[in-house]
Amino acid sequence: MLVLHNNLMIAVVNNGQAERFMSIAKEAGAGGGTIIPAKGTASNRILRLLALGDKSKEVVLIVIDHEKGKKIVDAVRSDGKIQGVAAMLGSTKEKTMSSKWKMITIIVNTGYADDIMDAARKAGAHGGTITHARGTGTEEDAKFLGVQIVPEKEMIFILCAADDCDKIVEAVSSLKCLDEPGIGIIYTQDVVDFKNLDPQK
Amino acid sequence: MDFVKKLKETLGSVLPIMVIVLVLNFTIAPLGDLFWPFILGGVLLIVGLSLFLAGTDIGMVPVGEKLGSVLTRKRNIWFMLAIGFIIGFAVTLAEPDVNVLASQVNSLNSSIPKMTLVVMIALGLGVFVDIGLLRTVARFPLKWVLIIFYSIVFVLVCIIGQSMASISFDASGATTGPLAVPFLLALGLGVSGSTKDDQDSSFGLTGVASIGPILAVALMVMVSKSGSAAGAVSEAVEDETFWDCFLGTLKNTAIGFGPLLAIILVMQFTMLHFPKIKFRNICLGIIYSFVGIVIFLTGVEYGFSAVGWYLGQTISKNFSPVLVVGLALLFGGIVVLAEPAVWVLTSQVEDVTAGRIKRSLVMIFICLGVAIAVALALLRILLHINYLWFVLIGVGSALIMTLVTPPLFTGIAFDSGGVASGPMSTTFLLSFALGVSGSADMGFGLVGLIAMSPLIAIQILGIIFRFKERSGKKEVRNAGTAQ
Repeated sequence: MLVLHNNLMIAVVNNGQAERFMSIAKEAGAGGGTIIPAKGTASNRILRLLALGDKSKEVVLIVIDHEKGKKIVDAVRSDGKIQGVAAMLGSTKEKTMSSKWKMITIIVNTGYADDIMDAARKAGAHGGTITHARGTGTEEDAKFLGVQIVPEKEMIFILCAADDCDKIVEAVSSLKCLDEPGIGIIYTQDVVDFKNLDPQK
Repeated sequence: MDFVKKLKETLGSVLPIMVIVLVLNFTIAPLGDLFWPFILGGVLLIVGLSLFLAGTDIGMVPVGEKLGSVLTRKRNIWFMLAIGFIIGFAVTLAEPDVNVLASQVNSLNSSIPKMTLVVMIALGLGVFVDIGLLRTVARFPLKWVLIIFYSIVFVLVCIIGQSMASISFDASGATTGPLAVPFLLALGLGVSGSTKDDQDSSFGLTGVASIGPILAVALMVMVSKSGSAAGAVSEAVEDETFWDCFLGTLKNTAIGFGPLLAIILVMQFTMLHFPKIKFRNICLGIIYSFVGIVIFLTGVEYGFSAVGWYLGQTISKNFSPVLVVGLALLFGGIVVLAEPAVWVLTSQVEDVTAGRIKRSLVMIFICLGVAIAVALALLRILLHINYLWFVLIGVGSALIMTLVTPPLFTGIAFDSGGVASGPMSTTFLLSFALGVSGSADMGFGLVGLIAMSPLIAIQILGIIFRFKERSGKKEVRNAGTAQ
């Protein structure tokens, strides 16, 4: 088992661009990465009202140190063909700077993402990324015809300004439909670096 | 926005068939009066298909998945079977295509009452949805379910003879309408997704379910006395105005969709309990799918059906059979690109495997399979080959292949069978075949052959995949987290 004491770079790119991102990242020094299919929620209000706002995305996770991560982002930006964002999570060597960005992660039973994003947006979030996952835990012992049942989960990532973070967490966690024990968790992480991958933005 | 992307994708899948027909129009088979309806039909196809697909993603699919997961979570096998049966039964009973098929059977063998047959087919589908659900939950290998039940099918169709055999295989294509298939696919995903396992049992529910109608029709023919044929079916191409066409499809789709919608609504308030905004989005999605499929079917009926018949007739009359079979090969491969359910299935394959199996790859193999199937069907019409050979060799080899194909691919393959034979093949391709044969009798079996072809094509893809992965090619992708 390879043990790495680095930061986690999380990039959200348009569907189909993750492979290109990875090959650029590898040239810039990344050892490898993990690609997760995801769904992005649009910022356009009319599309959202029509329920047509969701867009397929891919999330790329790379464990790498901060300096190399910067190189990767620069390389992707100079390539100019990938649309998305990249954030670096974890601690920096220069501990002095306080982070301007936060990442909120919500892990919740499947089916609540739309309502959560709606609440988060009203509290100041601009967008979010949703992936599917499977939980273990409370229902671990439940068996049906000899097969174990596992809860299906949605993971929602929201990048936001540090100032808005508390408001969003408050708005999501006080949602009525989430008022049920064991339905999910919410946590925040510091973002040490955050950049748009599109050089024009 | 994904809708724009979908529009581009469907444009790419409808344009090829339009281009070919237009080339034929300006060279050997001028369409005359059919030209403008055809163009309008093509536009409706593109718009309708995009809307349908966008809607399915946010409507039918989440409902089916959630229902599958809730049914599993209740851990009550009888409850699950009851709901599965009700869904299968109700959806089939209302499907307009099943009624059409039943009257066809009735015209060939008058001792089989139409209504009884419809009920039998619906029962067949209901029971096999249950068998499919049971095997998904219990992790019983799909290949044995298929081998057991298709063996029974074999014996029955050999007894009832080729003309009835071809109809019973057509039944499997007719029962699952374009709105029900995505729902069934999602239901299977939901059930398998909520249990701890790899992706092997994600697919196959639709494939197992479509055995039901074949058995039902075959059994009905067996037990009934062989009545006299009531005369050939007149598959006349009617001169319909655009509005007749639109209202007709609107009515048929609404009747077919009604029961499923009612079930979904009852479930929302009893067991699904989607939160407010999610439920709103799902309702919008279902409305989009409905409107989309009505637009799509109107386009097919109004523009494409008559053109298919006309092309089949003109070209077979004036040119060599080689050209006819060649065109059939081309049409078969291209037309299936515009089948709505094929799009739904292939995108689910991509989702479930987290991109490991690309949708385009599955699409290409379905196209190849259907192309060959349509060409063979036309050969059969021209050379009068016994249909039973196709069944024996086609399904036989598909079953043998299940022994070596990775289980995931077997599931995808048998599900593809049901989805490949959608509205495009039952109208455009069937009309083409009927135009060539000149009689309705020989046109039967085409839909069944189309449904059979992906069983082989996708399993070949699976075997190729198996060898590739065994050769140890490491992939950058760490597919893992999805589902």
